[in-house]
Amino acid sequence: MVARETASTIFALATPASASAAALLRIAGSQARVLAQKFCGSDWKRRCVQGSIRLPIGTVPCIAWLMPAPHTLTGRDTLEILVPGNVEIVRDLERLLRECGCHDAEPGAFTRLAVEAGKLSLAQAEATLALVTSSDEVSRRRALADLGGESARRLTDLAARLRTLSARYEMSFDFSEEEHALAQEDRLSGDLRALLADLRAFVGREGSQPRREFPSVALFGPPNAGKSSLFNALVGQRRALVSATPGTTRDAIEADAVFDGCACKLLDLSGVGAGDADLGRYAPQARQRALAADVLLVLCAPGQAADCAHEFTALTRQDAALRSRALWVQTMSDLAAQEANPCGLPQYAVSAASGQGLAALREQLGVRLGELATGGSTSLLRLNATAALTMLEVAAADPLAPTEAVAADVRRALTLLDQALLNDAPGDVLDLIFSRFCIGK
Amino acid sequence: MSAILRDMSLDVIVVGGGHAGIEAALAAARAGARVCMVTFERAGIGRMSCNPAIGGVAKGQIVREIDALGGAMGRLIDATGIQFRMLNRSKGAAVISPRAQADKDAYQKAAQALCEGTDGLTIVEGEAVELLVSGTAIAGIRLADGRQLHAPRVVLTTGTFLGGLLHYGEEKISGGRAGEKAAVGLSGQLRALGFRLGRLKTGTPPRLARESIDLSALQQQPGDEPAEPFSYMTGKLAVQQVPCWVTHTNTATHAVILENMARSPLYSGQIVGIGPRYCPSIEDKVKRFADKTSHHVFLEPETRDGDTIYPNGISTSMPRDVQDALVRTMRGLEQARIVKYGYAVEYDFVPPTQIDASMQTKLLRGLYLAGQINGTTGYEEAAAQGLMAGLNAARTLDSREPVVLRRDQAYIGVLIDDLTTRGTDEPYRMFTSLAEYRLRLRSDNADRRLTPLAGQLGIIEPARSRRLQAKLADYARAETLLISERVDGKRLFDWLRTPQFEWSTVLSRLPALSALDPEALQTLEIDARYAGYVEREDAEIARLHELEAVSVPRNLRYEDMTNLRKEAREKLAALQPLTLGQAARIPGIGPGDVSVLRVYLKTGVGVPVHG
Repeated sequence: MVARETASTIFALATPASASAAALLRIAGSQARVLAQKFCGSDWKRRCVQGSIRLPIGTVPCIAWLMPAPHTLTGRDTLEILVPGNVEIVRDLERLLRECGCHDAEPGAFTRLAVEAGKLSLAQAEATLALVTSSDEVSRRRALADLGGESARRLTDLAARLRTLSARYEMSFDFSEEEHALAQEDRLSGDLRALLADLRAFVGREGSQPRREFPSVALFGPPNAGKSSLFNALVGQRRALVSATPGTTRDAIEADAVFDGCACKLLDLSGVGAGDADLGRYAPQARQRALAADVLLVLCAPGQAADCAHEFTALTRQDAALRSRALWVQTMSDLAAQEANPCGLPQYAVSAASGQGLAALREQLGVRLGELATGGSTSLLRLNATAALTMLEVAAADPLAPTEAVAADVRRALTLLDQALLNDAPGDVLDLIFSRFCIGK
Repeated sequence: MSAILRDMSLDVIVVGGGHAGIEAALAAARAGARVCMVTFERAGIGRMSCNPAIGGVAKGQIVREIDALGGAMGRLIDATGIQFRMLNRSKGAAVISPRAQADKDAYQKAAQALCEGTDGLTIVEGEAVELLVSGTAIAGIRLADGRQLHAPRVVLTTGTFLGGLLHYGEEKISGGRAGEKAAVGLSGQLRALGFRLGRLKTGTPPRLARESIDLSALQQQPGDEPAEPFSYMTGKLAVQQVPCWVTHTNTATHAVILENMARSPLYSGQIVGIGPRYCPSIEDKVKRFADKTSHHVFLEPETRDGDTIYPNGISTSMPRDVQDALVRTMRGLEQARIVKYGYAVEYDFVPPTQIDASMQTKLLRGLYLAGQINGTTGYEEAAAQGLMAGLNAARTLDSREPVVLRRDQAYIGVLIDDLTTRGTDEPYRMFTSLAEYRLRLRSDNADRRLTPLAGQLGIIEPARSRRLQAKLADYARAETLLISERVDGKRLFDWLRTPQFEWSTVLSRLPALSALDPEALQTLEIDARYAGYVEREDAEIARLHELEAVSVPRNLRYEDMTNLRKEAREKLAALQPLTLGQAARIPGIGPGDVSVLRVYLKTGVGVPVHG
C-alpha cells in the first residue's frame, strides 16, 4: 500500500466476467474525464452520453456516465461505461484502458479510496464487504445496519460515555482539591460497571468473534437414536443415508442448514456406545466432533436415556462447558411418552416422522446460533469493541486494582474505540481489511 | 563597551532570570559552558511573580525530575519552604504530588546566591533589546545601553515581559510585572526574522496585609508532619511549618463582580490574549460557573513572617475600587487592606511548534526558547524547559547530541513533546492526564528514571549518583528478603499489593528491613502494586522506542514525496519532526503516512536534501 499514487487512475469490471447483455466498467481518477472525452466527445453537459470505442475488433457502442469529483464515492472523477457483455470485448477494453495509463484496481481499492476521501467510514467499508460476502440473513441484516451507520452510531454513543467517564477519572486526580461529586471513587466504579454492561450487550448482540466458517450443530447419540432421520428433517432433504441397521452413519455427514436466518453446518455424527456395529471404530472421531461443536444435540430414543447420559457425562469430563452448549433431544416422541433426562439439560421432544416438536427445536437452534453471532466478518468496529470490553472487564474484576490503573485501562479502551470509529486504524490493519475484498470492488 | 564585557568569552547567553532562566543558566554551566545571565536586576532573580508556591499535581513530579537531573528548583524550595503537603495522598502513588509554600523573599535570595556562586556563570544587569544574527545563526545580543554580548548560543526566557501589557480595569500600563518595565524591542525583531508571534494572558490576585485580616474566624490548613522534601539530596527536612487559611467567595462577592463586569478588561474587549483555562480569574469563574454560589479562596502567607497574604483563587484584573469591594465581602476579609492590586498581563509568545525537541528554534541556529515564551504557564513547566534548553545549548557547542526525553521517561518529555509536536494556543500547564504512562512517571522514582542519564551526561554531582546507587541496592536487598520470606504460604512480596499489608508488621518479622532506606521500600511497594498494570504498557512503549529510534533528517524535501498524501506532506514540512515517533504524533498524520515515510527513510530513495 506504500506506492499509493494519488494521481493514478484505477478501473475494474463491476459485472461478472461472463457472457451477458451488458458489462459495466468503473474508472476512477484523473483519466476519467480524458476517457469520457475520447469515447463520447465533448458533450458532457448531460451526464449520460452514448458513444463508441474503437477496439481491434471494430467500433463498439457504449453508454457512459461521468460523475465529476468531489461528489462521488471515491471523491474523484468517476466514469462508468456500459458495453456489450462479451468476454473478448471486455478484455480488449481493459487492455485499452491500461494503454491509456489506467491501472487494474486492487481488491477493495474503490472502497479504500472512499474511506480515505472520508466518503465512507471504515465501519461502512467493512459492512460493504460483509454484505457482498454474507451468505445468511443474520449477516446481511447486520451488514445493512453497519452500512447505514447504525452500529457505528451505537458505538459512538458508548465511546462518548466512556470519554466522559475517563474525564471524570482524570478530574479525580488532577483536580482532587475541588472534591467534585462526579469524581468520587464509588460513583466512578458504579458508572464503569453500568457502561460495561451496555458495552457487553453491544458486543454480544453485534457479534465479536471473527469466524472463518459457519458454526456447527452436531447430532450425537447411540446408534439408532434417530440421528439421521432428525438430520434429514432439519436439513429438509434426504441427504444422509437412513437405515434400520445400526451404525449406517459411518463417520459424519454434513449439510448446510439455516435456522431463523442463521446459517450453520449441521453434523450427523456416527453412533457411540452400546450396540455399535463397528465396535466403536468411529466413536472416537464422533466424540471429538461432539466436543468441538458449537451446539450439541444429545439424541435419545426411548429406552436409551442411561446410555446417552453415560456418554454425555464422559464428554463433560473433558469439557465441563459443553453443558452450556448442549440440548437433550428425545426422538420418536410419537412412539413413547417423554422421559426426564438424567443430565438436567434443556429438553426437546421431537418426531422426525410426524414433524412433532420440530418447530420448537428449530426455533431454539435459531436462538442459539443467533447468540453465536457469526457476523461473517472481522470488523474493526467489533474487534476493537471486544478488545475494549475485555480490557475493562479485567480492570473492573480486580478488587486490588488501583484507581489510577483502572483509569489507564479506561483510556486505552477509549483509544481502541476511537481508532475503530475515526478510521484511525494502524496501516497494517487497514491493509488486512481491504485485502479481503475480492468482489464488489 | 565596558572592559568586563569585552574580556568575556561566552558560550551561552541566557536572557531572563526567572525560573526558566535560572535552570537554563545553571544547566549550561553544569554542562561546562561559560554562561552569562542577562536580567533587569540581580535582586529580581527567582522572583515568584504569582503564587508563592512550588509543585502541585503533576507539577510536583516535574520538580522531582528537575532535581533528579541536577536542577535547582527542588533544593531551593526545600531550603525556603514554609509549608509542605503531599497532594492526592488518598489516591494512588502515580498521582501523588508534592507541593510547598515558599517564603518568596528567601526563595529569591537563595536563587540569586546560587547563581552568583556558580562557577562559569556571570550575571549582567541590563535589558536585551536586540538579537545579533549572523546569517541563519544567532551571534549574541545587544543591550539597551548599547553594550553587546557575543555568544554562539542564546536562550530566551522572557516570561511575560515580551510586549508585556498590564491591565488594572480600564487602565493599561506597559510592563512585564507590577512595577517592572516590559521588553519591547524583541517582539518586532522576532517577527522580522520570520517568527510567528501569538498573544496570551495571565493574571494575579491582589495581595493583602495580614494584620488587616481576621484569621481567627477562618479554617486553618496545616502542612504535613513530617514534611517531605522535594530534592532527593535533602534527606530529612527540619522545618517549622506555618499554616494557610481557607475562606470563600459568596453571593455578595459575585454580585460585586457582576455589577462591574463592564469594567473588566476581560469582558470589555480590552484584553485579546487567551488566558489559562484551568487557572481562571474570579470574573471568569463567576461568569462561567454561574450556578456556583461560592468558590474556595486559600489565604497563603507570602513569607515566613507573613506580612502579606496571597489569596489563591481570586486572580483579577478588575479596577482597583472593585478589587477593594470584592475582597471585603468575604469572611475574615471584612477589613482587609490591599497592599498590591491584582492585574492581568498580556504578553507575546512564540507558538512552540517553531522550536524542535531540543528547544532550539528552527529558524535561527543557536537560539533556544524556554518558559512562558513557549506558551506555558507555571514556574515548574518553565524551569523544566529552561533546564533542557540550557543543557542542549551547551551540549551542541561541541557537536554533542542534544538530549530529548521521551514521553515514557519523564513529564518533561511529555511537556516538550506536546509543545513542539502539537503546539498550544492557550497557556499550557501540566496535568497527570497528559502523560500516557502515568503509572511509571511517579514522584517517588524520578531519580531512578533520570539520574543515571544525568550521570552519563556528566551534569550531576557524584554524591547524587551514589545516593541513587545506595537506594537501588537497598531496593534489591528488600526485594530479595520479601521474596524469600513466606506468610501463610504466600511470599511477603505478594502481600505487598494486598490491602492488609502493613510495613510495621513486616518490619517486626524482618528486622533487617528497618536498616534499609525507607524511600527504597516505598518504591518497592508501589512497584508491587502496579506490577501487571505497568507491563500492559510495554508493547506500546516498545513501539514508541522503535519509532523514536528512527531519526528523521532535517530539511527533507517533503514536497517531493509524492507517495505521501498532500496534507501529510504539508504537515511534515511545516513541523520538520526529528524522529519517526514525533512524526507519528503530529495531529493529522496517520499510521499509513508513517509507513510511507519510513519506507522513504529506509531506502533513501526519494530523500533529496535541500542545498
